Amino acid sequence: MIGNLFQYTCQFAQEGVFLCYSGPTSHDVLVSTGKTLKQFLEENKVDTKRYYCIFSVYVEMFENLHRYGVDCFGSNLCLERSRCPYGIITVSLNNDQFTIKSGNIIALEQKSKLKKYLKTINSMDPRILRDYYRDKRRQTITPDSKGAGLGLIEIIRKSSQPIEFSFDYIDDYFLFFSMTAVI
Amino acid sequence: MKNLEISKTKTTPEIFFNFSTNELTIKGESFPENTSEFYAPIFEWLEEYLETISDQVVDINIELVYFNSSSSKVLMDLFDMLEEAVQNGKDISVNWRYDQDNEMAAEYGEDFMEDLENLPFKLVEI
Repeated sequence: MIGNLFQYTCQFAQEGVFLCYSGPTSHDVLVSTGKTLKQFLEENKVDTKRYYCIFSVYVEMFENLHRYGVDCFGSNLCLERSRCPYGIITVSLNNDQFTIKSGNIIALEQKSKLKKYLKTINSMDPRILRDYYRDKRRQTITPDSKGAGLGLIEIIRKSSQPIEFSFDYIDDYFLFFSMTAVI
Repeated sequence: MKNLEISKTKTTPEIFFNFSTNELTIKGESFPENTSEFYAPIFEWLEEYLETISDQVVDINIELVYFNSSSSKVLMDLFDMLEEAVQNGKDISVNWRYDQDNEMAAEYGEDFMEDLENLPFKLVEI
């Protein structure tokens, strides 16, 4: 296990990862890791616009992990009533480009809708995406939705290029969904 | 009517709605754990306030350096509520205050401004 951790650390170092969280997600973790991220950006004198773009993508991705991820590996670790979905998120800096990656486990049936939606908003021109965001913000939230449904749009609006995403097979019920945004 | 005062936290803005001066201020960052729960008392206060006032000049000062997408949705609902009050004859205006370095806050102010027809909405660089 120690050997593995060393390997992970080396790999992160090679990729310029300066922040990584993997485990049960919660708002508290978002607040503390978000604060660490801000400190790093301040120390590196990242300009204000970019600073908030990076922070914003981080918050939206983390909130998505928490809202839409399914429970942790080995769900017997979780209390029956508490929701602590597993998530992993990394932030790296390479050649003055910040990359934020997030990954979480989703149910197989979530894939087609999510993929279709991401493809649609990813290909939108910034002006159209802005109007789409505003339209969606005006819509009444359906009782079964977990958020305003604006998070993914926000992530794309703040990224400097289209986001990348993938679905990896876990078993017949679950997939690993990951997303990469560059700022 | 009592003033509404909520201190800022790491993820919620400072709220100060002053009933006697008709100045309502929202200032800080907004990414609450539960957005609708945090903003519920603010909507409740406003609802009562809008029923109480007649032709007073009301200034709403919003200075949010950062807000997440669910807060953005709530802000839109708030502006819709104020817009309706303006249509009913209230004298309300919003000052969207932003730091000149914070282009994002300025852009988001413009987005709101374009979505409002009757509510006076000013972008104020600080």
